[in-house]
Amino acid sequence: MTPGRAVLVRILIATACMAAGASGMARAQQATPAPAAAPPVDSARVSPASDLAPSTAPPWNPPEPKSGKRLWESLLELPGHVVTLPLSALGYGARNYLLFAEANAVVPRAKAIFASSPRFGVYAIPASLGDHTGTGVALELRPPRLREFLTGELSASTQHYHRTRVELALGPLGAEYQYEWRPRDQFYGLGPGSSLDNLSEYAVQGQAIRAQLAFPWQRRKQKPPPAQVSAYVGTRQLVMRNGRGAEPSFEQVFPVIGASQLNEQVENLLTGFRGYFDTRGGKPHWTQGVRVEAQLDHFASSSEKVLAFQDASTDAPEFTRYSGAVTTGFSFMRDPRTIRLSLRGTHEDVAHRSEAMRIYDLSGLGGGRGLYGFEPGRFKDLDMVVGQVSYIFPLAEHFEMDVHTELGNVYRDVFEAPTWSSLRQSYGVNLRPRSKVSPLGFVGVDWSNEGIRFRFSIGSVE
Amino acid sequence: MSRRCALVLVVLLATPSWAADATPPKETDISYFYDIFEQSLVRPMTRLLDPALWVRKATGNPRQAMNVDERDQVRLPSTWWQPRAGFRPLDAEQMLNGPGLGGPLPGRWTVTRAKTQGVTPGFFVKDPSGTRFILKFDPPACPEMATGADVVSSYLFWAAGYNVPSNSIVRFHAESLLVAPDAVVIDKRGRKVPMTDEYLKQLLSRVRREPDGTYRAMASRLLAGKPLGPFEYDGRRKDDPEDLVPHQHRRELRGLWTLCAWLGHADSRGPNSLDMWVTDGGRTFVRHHLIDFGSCLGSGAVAKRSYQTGHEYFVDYGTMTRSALTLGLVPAKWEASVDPELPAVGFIDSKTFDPKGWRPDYPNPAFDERTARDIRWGARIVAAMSDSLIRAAVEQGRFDDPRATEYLTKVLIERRDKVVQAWLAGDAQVSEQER
Repeated sequence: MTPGRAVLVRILIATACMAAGASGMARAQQATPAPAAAPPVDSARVSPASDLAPSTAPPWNPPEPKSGKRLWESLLELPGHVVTLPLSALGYGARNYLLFAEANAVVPRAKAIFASSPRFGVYAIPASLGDHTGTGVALELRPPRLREFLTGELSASTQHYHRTRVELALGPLGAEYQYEWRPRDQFYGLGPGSSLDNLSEYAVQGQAIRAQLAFPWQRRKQKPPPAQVSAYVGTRQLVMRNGRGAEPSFEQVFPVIGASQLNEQVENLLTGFRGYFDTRGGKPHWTQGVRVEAQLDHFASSSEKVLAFQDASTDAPEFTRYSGAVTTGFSFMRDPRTIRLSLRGTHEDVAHRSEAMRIYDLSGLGGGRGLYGFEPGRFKDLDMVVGQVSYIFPLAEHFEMDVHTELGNVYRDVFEAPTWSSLRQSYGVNLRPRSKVSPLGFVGVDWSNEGIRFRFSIGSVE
Repeated sequence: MSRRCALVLVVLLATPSWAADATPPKETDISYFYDIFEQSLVRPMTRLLDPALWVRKATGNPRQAMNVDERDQVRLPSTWWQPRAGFRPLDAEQMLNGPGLGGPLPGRWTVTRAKTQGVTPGFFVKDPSGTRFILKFDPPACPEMATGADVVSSYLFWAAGYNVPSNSIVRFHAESLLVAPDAVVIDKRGRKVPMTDEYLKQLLSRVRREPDGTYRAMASRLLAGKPLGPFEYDGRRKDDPEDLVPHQHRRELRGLWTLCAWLGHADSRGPNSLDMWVTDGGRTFVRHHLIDFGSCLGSGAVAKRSYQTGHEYFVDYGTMTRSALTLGLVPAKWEASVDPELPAVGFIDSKTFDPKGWRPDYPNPAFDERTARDIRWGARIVAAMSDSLIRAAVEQGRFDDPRATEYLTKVLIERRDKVVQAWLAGDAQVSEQER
């Protein structure tokens, strides 16, 4: 405010105060005349002007109740009221239910019941079984006396996906067993040029057990360490079954692949190494830093029979998978606007029986695995590369938006220089509710030249 | 004191039989969650699709307040509002004596039940004279913030003419509390269970203890009469024969926007109000109160206010659309704010305060109907809040840190000046757009 204006304001305030003192009483009384039609006010009951206490006199009121709308307004709004009558009824019901719920402490009671679950060590959380798996629930088991060492998970979804997992952890040492049934994953064929018309489905049943050594290890209820290396060894059993969904099964659309894979059980000895370092930080989403991750998995042939579940029916393909990812970002302005870049790639080096590589083991893109604008499992081959640029900016205190684009594809050999024109593009926009410290989820849309996909998530957003 | 008691006795004896027999209106309640849902999602959508509102906007003919006279002043008497600052002479002493008789008397306080509503811990007590109070506490990270804001704001809202409870800062030792034998508390499963010393001890363990062993709290004297629940900022209490004007068209409620903007009362919503069925002055009637000012000024009750407070609603479609269209590259006003880093204050500033565009946490039906006349009515009250009134009110916050008192006083004076500059500087000309 300029000095001149400040003086003006001061004069106005002083005038207001003086006016209040000099003529306030008269004005207040002058302000009270009731219209002729109004009920008479007993002047003896009206508080004297010097009385600052709340009035006890009958209040001024119009002769009859006033409507919030004039007649023409009500008429104009009538069609809208009629159309939204079902919504109004719904709102009425919701209002009464919430009043009941709040008066009877339904939410605190429910919370108390859930809070008591640690006694039994059972927690219900949303399942994370992947795209197109339906609505799922996971029961997490942490036996009270063993919760530092033993956890279990049972996940199931309305599309009949199922996963069972048990983990043992003792400092840097760990062991894990997992059984999974995926009845209707999508498959469009191999290579970057696979066609949308070749949509098929396959089921996969697998179990794996492995032992792990990690340093430094993650303590329970603590954040993951900023850097970690781990090595593991175990065995993995897998069998491809015919798809259980509405689409044709994969062996019908791809008879050659089907002939070598359907109902053929394979078992691999798995040895691997994984390492990462992560310097990302910031709020309400990570705003700066870098994460570099590398992983090597060697799937040896089942002929080694070490740690095998049982004798496999065929020789399994032997291959090594190299995976790498780099993610970085920077931000500007007070409520951070963040630009993120990420690059991920996978290369699979097949040493034995490449023709028998299971679809499930191939690198893939589409849906949650990258190129969100394409259907899950849209692209499959040995190698893949995908890059993403995203820009996250605030919309309001409790919302932010993520605008992103992705480029990538799958290849028989990623080192044979994929051409720019072979890259598939996907674009997306996500609305992300956020707290002061982290995003709470998102709802969004992604699109590509093949279609539009709606996505949402509760939690699990970076 | 004795004269007042005698007066009350006379009034009670003189109360005509019809008053005692009068039937109180039905108790009402507002669902916290539904209110947020309705005001944030349903009503904005309804307003967006309301053809009558389009016509009114297109023709520059907003609906003016219904309870004003030809001089554009609130018709009196009113059970909602009493002319004080801006309409009558008011000094600091009158303001400090206005809301009531102060805090609980020293001595043993009997804890009668736990506080079950709201987000801050608290409980109800009876002082040695039998007067009942509710005690509320501060979040440990922001000592003095919520209690200070509650007290300071209650004085200023009283000075502005509204009916408020008598709030004051008290300090007490845990030993001065006595749990009543019939005291109950609602447990986590929603059951009423006897309150124990252990419960009280646990509650106090979540509250900051002063170096001298005392606890600081805000004592709010329970309002006289029978509680009827909160009032809504739209519609009427239809079974109250004295409530004939839709609340959203009441000048006192529309003009309250200006006061709330000035004091940063972003939590101004139905659930923070209370109607009481009172017998006073020989009549039994409904008196309307504003309550719970723990989220005023820089306080967000459980934490300090965010920098965005007052600039946008929780769900603000306009702000979100603007940000989306500009990809967030246009900085928001609040991004220029400077945090005083005073825990007792929380966050409130004058630099980024926008006296024309201030918004509460979520839309309020009466505020949405406000016109320039309503705002100017409120601005006139704000303008009458002299420096001495503001300072006297802020001092009632009893902040240990003198910087907190100074900062809050300075910010309220500067915010007042901005309100006056924005709404009263060109008072003579009310443009068509502003009507």
